[in-house]
Amino acid sequence: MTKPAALFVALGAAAIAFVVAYAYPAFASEALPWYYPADHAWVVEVRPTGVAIDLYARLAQACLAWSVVFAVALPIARRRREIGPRAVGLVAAWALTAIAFAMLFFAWTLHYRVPVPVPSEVR
Amino acid sequence: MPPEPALAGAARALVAGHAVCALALLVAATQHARLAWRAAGGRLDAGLARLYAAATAATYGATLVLGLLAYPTFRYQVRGLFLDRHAPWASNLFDTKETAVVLGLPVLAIAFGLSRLLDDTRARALAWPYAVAAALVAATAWFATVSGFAVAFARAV
Repeated sequence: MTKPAALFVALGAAAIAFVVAYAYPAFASEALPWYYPADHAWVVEVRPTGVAIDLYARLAQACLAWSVVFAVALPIARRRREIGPRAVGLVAAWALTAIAFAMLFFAWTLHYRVPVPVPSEVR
Repeated sequence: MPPEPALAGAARALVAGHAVCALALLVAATQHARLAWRAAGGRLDAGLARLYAAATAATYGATLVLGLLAYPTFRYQVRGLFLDRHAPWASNLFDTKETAVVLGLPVLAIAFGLSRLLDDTRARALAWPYAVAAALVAATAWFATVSGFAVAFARAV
């Protein structure tokens, strides 16, 4: 089952890369392009200074990581003569663990977050 | 006069389209998950499963894109000016939903990719990973839709 398993392994590896790239800014001081909706401006910085959105940058970063890893992993996996059920199970377990860990981390963090509203004088 | 974010004038239409696509996604993703679990149990309807996998991917993508277009208005006018001050639980629930939807994207890719291989007899060992991926996509769609409506009841665009 080389061909289907190769696709699954590549998709699983790309999923792990996606999750790592999306979650990375939450753990490291990475400068990202933040979008300031009130000013229609993009600013590259680690922490925003007002109401700003980092979702676009993080999503783009994650999609880029997914594409690169998928493009590299698929030909490598296809070249393997055989990919057994053990390798398939391992990739599935790692991908599921990465997604579950990221989801739980964000759910936990967001549950205890105290949002900072727009200062009333700006309104 | 408060600042006007990009696409603020179209935000209500975008959110209405977002909600309609989300409801279509619920139907497609639930049906896809049901078919994937049947396939894992040995009762494969490859054509229908492929159809619902494509419908799930299309509605997931459309819902996400419309949400991303409406997001600047929501972030400033709804979350920044109201929810963060009066309903912080809704702000946090919205961001949890947003994270779940984004993290669901690679799972969607797995479910969609494996649905294309259902006729391949060599792919039988992947029936369970396919069923789990389809179920996770459906669970994400349900969580996102229910929490999206809960946030909208607190304050909508």
